[in-house]
Amino acid sequence: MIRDLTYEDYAEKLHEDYKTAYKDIKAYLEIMHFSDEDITDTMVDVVELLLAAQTEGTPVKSVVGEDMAAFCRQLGQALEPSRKQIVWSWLMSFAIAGAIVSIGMMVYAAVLLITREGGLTKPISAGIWFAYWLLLGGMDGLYDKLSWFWWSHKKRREAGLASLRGSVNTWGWCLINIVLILTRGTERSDFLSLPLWMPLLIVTVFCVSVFFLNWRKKRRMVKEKYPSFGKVDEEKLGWNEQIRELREEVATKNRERHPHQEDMTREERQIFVRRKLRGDVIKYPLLSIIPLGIYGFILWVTIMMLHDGEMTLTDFWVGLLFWTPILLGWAGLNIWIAVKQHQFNKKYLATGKDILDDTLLYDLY
Amino acid sequence: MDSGQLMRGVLEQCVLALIEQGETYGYDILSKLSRAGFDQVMEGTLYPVLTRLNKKKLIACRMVKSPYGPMRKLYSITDAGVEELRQFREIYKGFSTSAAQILFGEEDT
Repeated sequence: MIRDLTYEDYAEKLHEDYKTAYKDIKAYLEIMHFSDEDITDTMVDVVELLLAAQTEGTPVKSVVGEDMAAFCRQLGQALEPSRKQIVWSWLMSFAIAGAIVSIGMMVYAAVLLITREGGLTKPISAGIWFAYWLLLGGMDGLYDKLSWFWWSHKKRREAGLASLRGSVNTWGWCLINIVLILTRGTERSDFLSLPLWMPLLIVTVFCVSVFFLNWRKKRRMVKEKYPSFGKVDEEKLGWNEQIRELREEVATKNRERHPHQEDMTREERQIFVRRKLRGDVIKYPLLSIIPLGIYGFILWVTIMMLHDGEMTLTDFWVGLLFWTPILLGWAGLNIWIAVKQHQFNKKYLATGKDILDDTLLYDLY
Repeated sequence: MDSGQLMRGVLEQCVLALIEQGETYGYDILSKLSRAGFDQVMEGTLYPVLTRLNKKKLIACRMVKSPYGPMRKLYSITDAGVEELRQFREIYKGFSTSAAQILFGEEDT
């Protein structure tokens, strides 16, 4: 189902004080809660409320009060995840990571089973396990590197050094493991044999660490970048100049992210977006299938090399049967996403809305 | 004297009582509260209350298209909400009678 217009579109109908209030609330929630997805539900309510107040002539201060920060903080309370949600979110990340490990292990076990060399109870070597993990993790790195050539200057700049560093690390480890495994040949059981529960333990530690680091990062960002929010209550700056300043700061950051927009006329931007839309429908599936194909081939060769040291006709069919549905499914999913994105964006264009809106343009990527 | 603290103490149940009167939405609840003298209640205060009630399954929520365009949440009371309100009314009645006796010297009839 194609999404309807967003709350941001409806917010265009707001005027003067109502519009200012909307922007202030949005800026506050975006900064305090970071994820646009998280605040969408609340912002839909806020826009509906402000539109209702505007239509019925209710002064905006009667709705949001004198202290915007206090109002926003109250709204934010509803956005704070409960302990149950936090635990659930952690369990989900664990489940996803665990599922990836399990799939890798099952594939390995299936190969052994088919070739009558063992089954699910066979200890898996650390080398094989890391190879699975790093190859799977490396998919993203390879995808990034390959798509780099198709990316716009803006996208490349956004990807930044962090992505590059991450990819280099991933692929470095990946190559080390491949070399280690390949040089060890068929001696897989002797190469740091690990029981099946070990990977799950490592995943658990990984998930806890990521969760903890993210939590600390968020706390630090709030503390370092937006310390003034903690003082709003005491200071009560009327319509909260602090929030206005933060809104300006967000707007400035957005301008920095999309510098080329500044130089484009509306017509040029329309052409730019239309070209991009056409390109996406073809590019997304191609970009997905190429790295995945190469990647699958590497993984398959690795498994086969570990298995016999050489590839047999059976190995070939096993690999083919395993990878073909995955490749087709992955490509199909990307085609579906690209088509939906195309339809959604076409709908935007049909509304005559200024497609140069920062958020919309960002969505296009 | 700040009456806000007293109002906040019963806000959740008042909102629940308004929803009990019939399916309604945020702005309507806010207007009714304001007319009833809960002037200090803003949407910012109301929203977490509605979220809490929803999480406790005392109210149910469905989305409809509002006349102004965006989706609007319509709230209705659940059976658990009705029961919660009934219990609160009993407690509140007893409490307010006791308080009135002390504050105004009223006799228990």
